Amino acid sequence: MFLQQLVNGITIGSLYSLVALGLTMVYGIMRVLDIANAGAYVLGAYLGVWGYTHTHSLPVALLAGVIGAALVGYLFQRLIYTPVNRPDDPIVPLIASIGLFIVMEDLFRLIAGPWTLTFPARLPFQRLALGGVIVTGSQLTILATAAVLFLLLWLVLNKTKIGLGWQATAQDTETSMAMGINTRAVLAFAFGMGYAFSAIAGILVAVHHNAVFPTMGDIPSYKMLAIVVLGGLGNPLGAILASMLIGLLEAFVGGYVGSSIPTDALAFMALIVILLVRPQGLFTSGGAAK
Amino acid sequence: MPPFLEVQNLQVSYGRARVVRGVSLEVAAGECVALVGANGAGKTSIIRSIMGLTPATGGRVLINGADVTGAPPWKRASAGIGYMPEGRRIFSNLNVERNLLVGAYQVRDQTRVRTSLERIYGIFPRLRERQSQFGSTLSGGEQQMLAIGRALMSDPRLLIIDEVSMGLAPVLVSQAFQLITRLHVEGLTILLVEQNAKKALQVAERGYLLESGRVVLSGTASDLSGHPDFVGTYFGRTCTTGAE
Ligand SMILES: Nc1ncnc2c1ncn2[C@@H]1O[C@H](COP(=O)(O)OP(=O)(O)O)[C@@H](O)[C@H]1O
Ligand SMILES: [Mg+2]
Repeated sequence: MFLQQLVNGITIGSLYSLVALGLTMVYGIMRVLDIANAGAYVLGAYLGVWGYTHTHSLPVALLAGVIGAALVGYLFQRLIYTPVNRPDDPIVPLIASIGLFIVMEDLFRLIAGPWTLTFPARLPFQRLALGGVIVTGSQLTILATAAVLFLLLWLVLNKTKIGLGWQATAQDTETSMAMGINTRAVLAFAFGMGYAFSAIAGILVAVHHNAVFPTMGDIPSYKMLAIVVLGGLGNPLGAILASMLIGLLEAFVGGYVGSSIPTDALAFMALIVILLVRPQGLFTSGGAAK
Repeated sequence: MPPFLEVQNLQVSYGRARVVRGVSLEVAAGECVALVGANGAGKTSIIRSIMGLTPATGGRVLINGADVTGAPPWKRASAGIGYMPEGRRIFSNLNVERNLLVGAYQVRDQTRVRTSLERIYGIFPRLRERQSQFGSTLSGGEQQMLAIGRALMSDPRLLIIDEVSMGLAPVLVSQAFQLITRLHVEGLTILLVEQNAKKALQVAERGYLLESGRVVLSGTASDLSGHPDFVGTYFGRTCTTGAE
């Protein structure tokens, strides 16, 4: 039971991490709390289903989600957030992002219909039974994908030139520009990657629950805010740790206490407790540092 | 051949406040030019406008004869300007070496980057010792070295330094000016922005004196230091404000 909930918790935490990372990347570079990032999660799921039904290939589905979401992230950044962003007024982009999220949700409903689509993907992993603990194929897929993406993000941030530009821009955009960094390109890259991460999470969730529906981003849209604040805004490692914490909390409370406590509220309860004890978040915040 | 940097009738306003009112200046290859003036005269605004960080409300900026007035800052950096901003602006979440690498962001050739890095570590052995420490852990003097080193990483054709002496102990100020002198003697073109006019004019060959957003005096360093207006009004003031 304990080990089973541990596995379940880490799986949930891995999914949350991907969305929280998407949000945190965008926040870290532009100081925008981007609710529409949860729209990328749903967009990813829809593009994934679309790609999968045409090719029956999960990699193609992931690719469709990644490309589509990255493009949308780039366009939002370029056409909406950059024009409305003022260093002294974070409320305007926040409201814009809520508006974008609502528009996206309605577009999904209009284009794909209000009903639930199925996503019966064939997975690269078989169900695994270790002792009494069962790890399903979709759980393994989630864990493996998350591990690969964490590594990828770390490599990009610390071992590539654009990652250096990203970290510099996240801390001091002005000085970065004057040092020769094309911050416009860096911003586009960070938004694209942030949206792509959320899209991948959306696809994995859709496969896991075999369901895609227009409002599937509602709960993540606010739960991720709680997680990202918990982890220290703009701090990728903090976002991962906070996601794991919430994932484990949900799994254990769900497993041991049952449904008398709504698990979706746990992230907020944790947030309230942490804000009372450690207002700066669990892990000190910073730019897009490791 | 046009001067490397040419500023023509530059104007900068913040809202209704006109802070730079028609400033023209130039820096030719090989020169060291000082831009001096009291606190609030508009020196930093001019430099930020040259770098493209603050938009000009009038006038033009030319680098190597090309008009860059509307160009983004990174284009100006790649045109050959190394810049040490006021207040140093070290990246505190990056270690010393990565701070330096940011300065070489535009350099593609990795062997050139290594060479520059070695050169900077040669000039500032302290930075080599602290290469993997975060920017935030450095002392003020070390941050100053890092800011200058970062500006030199791209092997710039013009180095712009905004207030090297700001917030430094007198010994460190002297060391900084010695370094600037050395870089200039080795052939680097420099635009030196200073409140500390006396020190700046010991290094520079020419200078401009700025007052309330206008150039009120310009000429060779010895002309400027000897000028009665200058001696009377300006050195008097630096002695009292120079300590900040
Ligand atoms: N971002 C800004 N917004 C409004 N006023 C500014 C801003 N930056 C500088 N100023 C004002 O412009 C004037 C010139 O400042 P600055 O260019 O920093 O002068 P200096 O570098 O010579 O001390 C000062 O009166 C200063 O208060
Ligand atoms: Mg200044």
